[in-house]
Amino acid sequence: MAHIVIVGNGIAGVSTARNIRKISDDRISIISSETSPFYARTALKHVYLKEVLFEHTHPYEDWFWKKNDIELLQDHVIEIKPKSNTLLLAHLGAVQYDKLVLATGSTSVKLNIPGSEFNRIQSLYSKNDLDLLEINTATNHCKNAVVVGGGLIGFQMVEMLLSRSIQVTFIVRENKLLEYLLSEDESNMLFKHLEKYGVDVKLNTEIKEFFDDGNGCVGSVLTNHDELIPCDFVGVCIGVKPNINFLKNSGIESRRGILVDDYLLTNIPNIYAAGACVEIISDRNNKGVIIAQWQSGKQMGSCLAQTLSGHPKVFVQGNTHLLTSFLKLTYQKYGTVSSDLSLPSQEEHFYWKCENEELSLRIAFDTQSNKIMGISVIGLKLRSDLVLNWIKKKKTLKYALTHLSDALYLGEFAVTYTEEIIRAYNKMYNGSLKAKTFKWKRVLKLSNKYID
Amino acid sequence: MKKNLKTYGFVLLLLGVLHFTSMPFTGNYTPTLNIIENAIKEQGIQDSVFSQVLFTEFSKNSNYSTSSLTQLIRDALQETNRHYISKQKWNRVIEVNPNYLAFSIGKKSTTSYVSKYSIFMGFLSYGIAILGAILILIHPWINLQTFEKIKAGSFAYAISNKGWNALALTAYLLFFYSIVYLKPQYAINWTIPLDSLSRLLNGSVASHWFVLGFVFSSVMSVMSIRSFYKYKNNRYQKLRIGVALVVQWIFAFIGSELLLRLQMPHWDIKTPFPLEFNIILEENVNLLIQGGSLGNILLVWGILLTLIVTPLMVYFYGKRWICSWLCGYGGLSATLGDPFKHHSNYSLISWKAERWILYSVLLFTITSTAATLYTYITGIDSLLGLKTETLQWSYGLFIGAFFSGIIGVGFYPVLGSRIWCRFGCPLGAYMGIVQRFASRFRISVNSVQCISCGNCSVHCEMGIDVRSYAQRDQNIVRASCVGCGICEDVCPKGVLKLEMGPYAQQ
Repeated sequence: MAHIVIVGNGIAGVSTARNIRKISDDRISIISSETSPFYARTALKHVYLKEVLFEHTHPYEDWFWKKNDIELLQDHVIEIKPKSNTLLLAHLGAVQYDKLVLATGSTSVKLNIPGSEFNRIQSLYSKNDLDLLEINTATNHCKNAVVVGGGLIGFQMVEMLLSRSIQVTFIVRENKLLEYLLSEDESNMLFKHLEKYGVDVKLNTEIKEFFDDGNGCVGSVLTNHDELIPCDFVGVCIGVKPNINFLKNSGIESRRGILVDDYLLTNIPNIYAAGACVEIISDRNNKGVIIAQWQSGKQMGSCLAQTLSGHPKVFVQGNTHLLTSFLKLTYQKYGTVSSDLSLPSQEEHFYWKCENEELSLRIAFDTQSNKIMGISVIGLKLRSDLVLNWIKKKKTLKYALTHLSDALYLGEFAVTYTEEIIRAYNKMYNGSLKAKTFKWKRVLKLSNKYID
Repeated sequence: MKKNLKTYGFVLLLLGVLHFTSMPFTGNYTPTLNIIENAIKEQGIQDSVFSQVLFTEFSKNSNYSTSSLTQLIRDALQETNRHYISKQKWNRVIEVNPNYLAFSIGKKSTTSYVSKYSIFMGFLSYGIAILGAILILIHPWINLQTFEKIKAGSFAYAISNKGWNALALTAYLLFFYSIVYLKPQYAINWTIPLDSLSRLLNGSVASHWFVLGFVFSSVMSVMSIRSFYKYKNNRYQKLRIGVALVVQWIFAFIGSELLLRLQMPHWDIKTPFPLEFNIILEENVNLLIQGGSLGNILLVWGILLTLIVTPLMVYFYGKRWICSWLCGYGGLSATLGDPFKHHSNYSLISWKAERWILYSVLLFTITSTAATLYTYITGIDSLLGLKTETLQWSYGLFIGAFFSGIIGVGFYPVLGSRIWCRFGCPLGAYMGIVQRFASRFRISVNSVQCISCGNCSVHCEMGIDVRSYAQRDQNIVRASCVGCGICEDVCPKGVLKLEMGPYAQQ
């Protein structure tokens, strides 16, 4: 019976532990210096919005860990000694392991400009950050806030601050929102959506300096357009980076993240790593990939559990899709949909936007073969396994449009707009397509979930 | 004017509720011998000793309050029974609920201020309370904000987070339900303003049950304004709440009163038997059988509805066709109960407790039914040593009054809005078994999208740990799911969807 020690109780670490327990009875310990037990980091927004309480963010009840014989240790790792297979912990001292899994996640990237040491400037990643945010945005002093960084966490932060009736200025470096994800049209739609909530969005803007209010707290920010924006709080959401500082002098190789091969193995034979802290390199000379997503952490965990239990398994990034929502507006993307079509490529887009509502559909397809490469939607929801199979099985644009009702995953009685979308296509390409009605038979055939 | 709507509303609501609350304590009665005689007869008592005692007691005084009236009846009853016990005439001992007798006597002999100005007093209680609540709730509809708002969740407000006002509301609901179910004589002043409406519907004056029906339906209607606003972007919610509302007024409130007028049992004809337990009581079955063609049609419909229509509908649509679309409890939980639905506990232990309690109630229902039918057919008054009458009486008190009324609705603000549906409803238990094992309905999970945030589990009013299924990518097929669609509404990723289709998983 081997002793597997997992450092970090985020989704990657916990997923590893759970999946090992399904196959073997090795001794499993999870060490974490963060709040124990495991909570859903993605739910922090909902805790701040008071939609759930913090205790509700525990995906497993307290008896779960005992029942599955998973040991939870709240402690801090000071040093890893691979030669003697030992971990040095702050309180418990030395801990022996047979196999070690590093799943330490990420930390927020900080802005390195004058004044960033002032109070009430913070990012959002952990429970500690959330507690700090509650103090920093207490209603008696916080009226105006600046959020820096137009990524997913930035949007979350904006939504959170709005719920406390705080006036938000949203500062985005790029010339559109979520530049790596959205095309101009979608970015504009989101821009208008933010304006509806009274958010002041400043594109093409960066912060040069923070100024204090005389009490050591942030009082205003200076942008690169020399505009001075007064504020009581600044949320810095410019991204995350792997949390690997504790690896120093351990002999475990790292660049941006912990370097691992396709089996998630580091350069030391019994030390593995999973989740957002890894940089996967198939070829030592190339730049590796870092994937900081909940679902990838879950998948890496279940893959690594196989390897650790003696069934080596290569990690393949399973999903090429992203689902999220921006201030109650849902966004979904499947496959490849380029955000910039000005570069020469084989990719062409069909784009439809609803006139009265915030709804849009974008289908990327191959110019020559008409096969679809990806779909993205705002305000609509799609049946994910079916759409991914469409892309995998290379369905054509015409097929996708006529069979759209199969793919829509809207609530009952919702307006579907399938007819409008077809009409838009027919007008644009002078076609004569007709929408097909929903058929369970086709859905069952094409979605993994129902394939026996 | 428009801006202050909310303030005016609060003032009106407060005044209306205050007046309504004072009404039980301002009863005033001057019973005559004639009235007493009639009231005793109505309660099915033919006892000269008892009437004699009552007559002499009543002649001592001419004016009574509700409590002195009740006390007097209780004393008379005790004296009569003591008389019989001393003479060892056990079979003459009178078993009657003094509260109900007080209601009959009081209702006919009331001289309170409410009876003098009944319509006006009705306006000053029911009227302004309803008006005030409407003003408060239409406020967001007409005072449009410059910017849209991100609203904080349920845990941000004291009323929906077990704060002082939630406790006060609980106390008030318990006060109201206790009077209606246990001390109806205190509801007499509440019934008076509704007399004319009651006469219009069922031909006689309003009873305390009529008050309950009217208040229940009114609260549901008023609170639906809030729900329609909250779910203005969700057509499923709007439709089901709308249907529940219409059905509550037409079938549950007006329909069953009209049946009463036609000499039929008081029955909400859309509700299958296990929930409408009264319908199999001997007198009601007799009414149906002897009630000519209408009675027979109703009898056949009742049997068909319970044995064929219900399981078939559950097979196709899940039990939600009743629980979330037609049932009054469902309607009330989607309106009055909406701010409290997240109080339902989703731990594994509560699920265990749920199954034990729910199926015990179902067993109780089945036993009482069997005993009732056995007695009806054979004329023997007990089954396996259990007295039929005792079974019926305890079922009515513990399940009907305490569980479904006092606990089920009274504890909304602290225990959640579906306590009765989850732990007690025998109809729900019956349909749940069909739903679990043979139904096309489920909550489906969009593959590998769940981020375990917990919104679904927290907001499920039936306390289903939806997340534990969603994070394993497993469709939710559960006996208790009432298909309210809240999990679908709160899921930030759009993972969940109520769906009917061929089942492939599980």
